[in-house]
Amino acid sequence: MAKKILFIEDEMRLQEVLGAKLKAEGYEILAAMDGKSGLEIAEKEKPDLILLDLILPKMDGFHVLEAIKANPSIPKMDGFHVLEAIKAKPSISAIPIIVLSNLESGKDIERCLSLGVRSYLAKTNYSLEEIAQKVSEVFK
Amino acid sequence: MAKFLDSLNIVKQCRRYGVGLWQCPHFLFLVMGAIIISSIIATYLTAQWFFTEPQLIALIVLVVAAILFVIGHIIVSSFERVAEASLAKSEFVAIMSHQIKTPLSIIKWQLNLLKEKGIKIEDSEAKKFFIHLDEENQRMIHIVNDLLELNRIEDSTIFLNPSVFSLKEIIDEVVGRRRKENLNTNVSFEVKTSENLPLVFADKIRTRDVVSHIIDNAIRYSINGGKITVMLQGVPKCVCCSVRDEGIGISKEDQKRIFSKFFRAESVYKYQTQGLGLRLYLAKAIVEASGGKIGFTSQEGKGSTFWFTLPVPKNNLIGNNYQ
Repeated sequence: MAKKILFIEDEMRLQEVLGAKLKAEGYEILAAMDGKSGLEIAEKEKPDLILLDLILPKMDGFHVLEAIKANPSIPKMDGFHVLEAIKAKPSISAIPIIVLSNLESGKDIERCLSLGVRSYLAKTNYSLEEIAQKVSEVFK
Repeated sequence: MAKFLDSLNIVKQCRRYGVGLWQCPHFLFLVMGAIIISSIIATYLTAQWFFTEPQLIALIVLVVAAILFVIGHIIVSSFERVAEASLAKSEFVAIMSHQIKTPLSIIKWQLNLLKEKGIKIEDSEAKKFFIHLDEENQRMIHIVNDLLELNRIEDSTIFLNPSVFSLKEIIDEVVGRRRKENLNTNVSFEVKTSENLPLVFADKIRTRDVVSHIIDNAIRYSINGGKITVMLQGVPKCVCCSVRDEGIGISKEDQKRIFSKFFRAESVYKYQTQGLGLRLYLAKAIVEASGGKIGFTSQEGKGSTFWFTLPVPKNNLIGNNYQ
């Protein structure tokens, strides 16, 4: 059975092109354009992997991460309602996450790593092939 | 000395910071110095003439102190303005870079996909343009990345993620890539490694950047071709990587500024106008932030050798982990 990947990315064109590549690699792709609907899909579909952009409308990627990881040490921000929803279903907190972002400041990377992100990939620095390889490494 | 004289050129300083005369820190500093000296002399002379009226002396001291206080306040405000402008510039670069990177990612990935799908372009000129699109997009990505890295270094927000890794693997990867890219040129590559080379402890991704910057620099200087020799050897507590080229070398004048920001050597600029002149500046900053050293020797007309060192892990000085 094909592995399910949820891609939370607000740039439609990036979503299309990476989605096409991963579909060609045999994965099933679930797409969300913002953090809120991304979380809803994560809860409902329980994907095998989440690819997450950090700058998202409605709820940024950090809030999604915090909500998914349900880390009580992190102060609640405007994504707290999602955090509560996730706390009710802690099964999704174990889903591996790869962050795909063009934010590359030390603080961002550190914050993502502290939230248990598997990999932090700068979009411009990785080709589609390299991203597909990182994805396949998760399932090895 | 030249730097000191330069700092006394008030008009130049005002232009440099983009502020008026009465907001220029250098000018205000000189004014404050002049007031302090003249007020000491004036107080001394006045005290001699009016030694029977100490209130007058006290009043003069009070007035001078008030003037100095006002000037001090203006200096602090001026510095604040400069600092704020610098912060605004950093934020602008960060925001703009992020905005530019999104379309660059889209172009990069779409070109990747088109290439993978093996789209048929029969027209040889169109094929050439397609390759150029990919190369130019990659060039823009490099420029934006370099500007962002410069921004981080200047703001001291550079984040190193050190790990233990094989420097040889990075060298082999970068040289392998450059070999492929330079198949149709007269540039050849050789990698020499000493035995029992220890692993290094540094930021792997940034080390790859440093190696790429130095090897690309060697290629750039090898205008008439030649061999580029990359050598790896263990030195006390570090691994040293040197890159020797047989290129045009660097003039004595340019050698002084080779690691400066936005510097382009005259000898290379004649042949190649591309690049921001940031790569060696960034390489130096990254190597030094990693606890290593960087340097070079060069002879005009004969070639240059750039070298850098990276520390081995602290518990690995004797060398249990070999590459």
